[in-house]
Amino acid sequence: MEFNWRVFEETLPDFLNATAVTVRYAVIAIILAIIWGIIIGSINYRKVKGIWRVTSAYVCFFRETPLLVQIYFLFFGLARLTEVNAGVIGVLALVLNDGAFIAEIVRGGLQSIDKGQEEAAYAMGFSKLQTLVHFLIPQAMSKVQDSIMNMVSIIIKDTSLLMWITITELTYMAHRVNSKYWQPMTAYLTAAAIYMIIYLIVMGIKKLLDRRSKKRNELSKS
Amino acid sequence: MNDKNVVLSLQHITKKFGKLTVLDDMSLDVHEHEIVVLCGPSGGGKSTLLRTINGLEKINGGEIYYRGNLVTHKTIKDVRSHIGMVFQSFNLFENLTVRDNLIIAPTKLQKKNKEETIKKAQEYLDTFGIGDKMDSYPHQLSGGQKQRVAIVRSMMMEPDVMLFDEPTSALDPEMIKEVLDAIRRLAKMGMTMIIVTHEIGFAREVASRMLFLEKAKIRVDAPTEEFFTSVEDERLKQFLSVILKH
Amino acid sequence: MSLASLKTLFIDTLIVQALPVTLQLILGSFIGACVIGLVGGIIRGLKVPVLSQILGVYAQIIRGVPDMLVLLFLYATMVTGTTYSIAVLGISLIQGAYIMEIIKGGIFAVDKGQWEAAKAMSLPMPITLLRIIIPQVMLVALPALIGQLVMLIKGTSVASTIGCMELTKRAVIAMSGYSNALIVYGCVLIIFFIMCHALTVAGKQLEKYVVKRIMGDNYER
Repeated sequence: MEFNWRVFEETLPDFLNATAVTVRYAVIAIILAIIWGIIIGSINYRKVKGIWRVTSAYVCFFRETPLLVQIYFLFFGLARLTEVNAGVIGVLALVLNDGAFIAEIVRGGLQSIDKGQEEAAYAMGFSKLQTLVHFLIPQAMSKVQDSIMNMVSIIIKDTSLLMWITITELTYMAHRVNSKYWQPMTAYLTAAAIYMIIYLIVMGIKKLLDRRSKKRNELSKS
Repeated sequence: MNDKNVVLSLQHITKKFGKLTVLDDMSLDVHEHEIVVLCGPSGGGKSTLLRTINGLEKINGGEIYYRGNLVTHKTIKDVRSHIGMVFQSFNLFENLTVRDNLIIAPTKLQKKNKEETIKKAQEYLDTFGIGDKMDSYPHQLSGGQKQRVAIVRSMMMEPDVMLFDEPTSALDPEMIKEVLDAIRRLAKMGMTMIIVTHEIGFAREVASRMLFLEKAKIRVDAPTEEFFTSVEDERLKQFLSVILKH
Repeated sequence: MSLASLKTLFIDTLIVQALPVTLQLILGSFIGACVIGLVGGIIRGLKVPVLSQILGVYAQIIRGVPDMLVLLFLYATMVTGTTYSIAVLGISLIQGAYIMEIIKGGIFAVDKGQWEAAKAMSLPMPITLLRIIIPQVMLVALPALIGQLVMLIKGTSVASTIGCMELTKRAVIAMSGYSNALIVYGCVLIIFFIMCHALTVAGKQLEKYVVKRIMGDNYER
């Protein structure tokens, strides 16, 4: 049981293809989950009449149940009702699950903003929605950008569960290569290394954003 | 070294933070019942000097003697139990009541009887005017009360010397007096003390000896009255004129 | 689906057969994760040279690599052990890393003055840790630790993929008999939700109780 370079060379193209799949799903899910999270988080922050009870129950439920079961529920459940595409269901599950976490982060960010900001915007004649979109959300997002970047790395990891609904992403590829060659070290360590590279890139971006916002804060102080 | 009255003796102490020298070849003998006040501009090394005495800062050169015995890595723990330290930010144990703050060291360390220790703690608290605070937690006390509890906590160890690191700097003006009064009381009891403070009027009143530290050196070391009246030192005069204006 | 078959599914299969396995998984991994987290967290918090850096790399790997991959790797490489023990090992390693970082953060959050005062009073290290530092760490870390425990409970569902006969796996098997996924997986979701939500609610009460025990009345952060 050690790293087999021959198998590595042979399977590297497959791994790279699978990495592309992982990255594609992750990017789509990240973008949609952030948008979804901002919408739901804002509704829950404002306690919009009629829907916020539903949306906050949704957030609570999706945060406190396992993603894997959610994926099964949506994929096999919807498959009975209509024709489903595994990719679409996969993204839907990730957005619903991770979006719920992002919604809570965004809501927390909105809550931490000084109430005076909101009142000042109203006084200037901005509507409630305009105030939210132009003043509150941008501020909240810069406050919680660290947590959002952590969610980004979590969403990337979460794509691995899509292997159980036939998506040939990176963890699936490691699993398949291992079944074919019976080289667990080679198969799984290759995948792990690729995940680590992606993770370190995400953390690099996080640091960059961090430094940028620190600089901005210093500028606004002086 | 032969003088029996010397409690603490610092010989050629050097301390560096990286390339920055904060204590440069400092020597100092502290005698029994002496009250030594360290003053000088910030960054002069006052707090660091105090912290090297009980080993909170490791020294890069020189020796420290306690009652004629060299303080080493092995003996520091024992020496510390004879030296009380009062911090600028009180450093009471936040999760312990005043009672537990006061008895933890005597009972856990010196293995003293718990009931007697509590009785003694109550007496000290009464002496310092906070007799009703035994069951309070630190966050329920004012700054002045916290600092007096911290003083009592040090006293519980029956220390030979007490070190004060800017004991009133973190206090609101109206609370400074109650802490200074507590220190005055210790002075009357004959406690040997080394105090870092900016309260120059208070220093003049209680100190038996004044040290002026600047740029990692002891620039002036004189008996209190002489220090304020007859020492000819440009830097000291400048420092005093600035600080006395306040 | 008839009411009788729903009862068979929910009570007989999920609650009676599968839930005890899930609970065992939770308990086993919880103990494992706490041991790893506490020991590792103290080593990281005290900045023990070399060991602390190695544990830091371990934490980064767990943060970067999917739980699924860790579990499949252990499943493929462990020569001995049941699926249950492999799952417990895997979940302990994963959750232990997070708990370790929470404890480390908690230790860093304790004011430096608390250490200095203990040192100046020459309190021995075990007493300092037990009586002063760890209670204060618990105070700041408890909410995060409860959150992590919810993650751990949810994380046990992944053990189904290596054949551990817990809730999710039983549901997958039951699918062949009932075939209504919305009901079968819906039941599993509900059971997980009840467990996690009960913990979250109880956790809030526990926090209040612990804060009061550690810091007395009227404490505000």
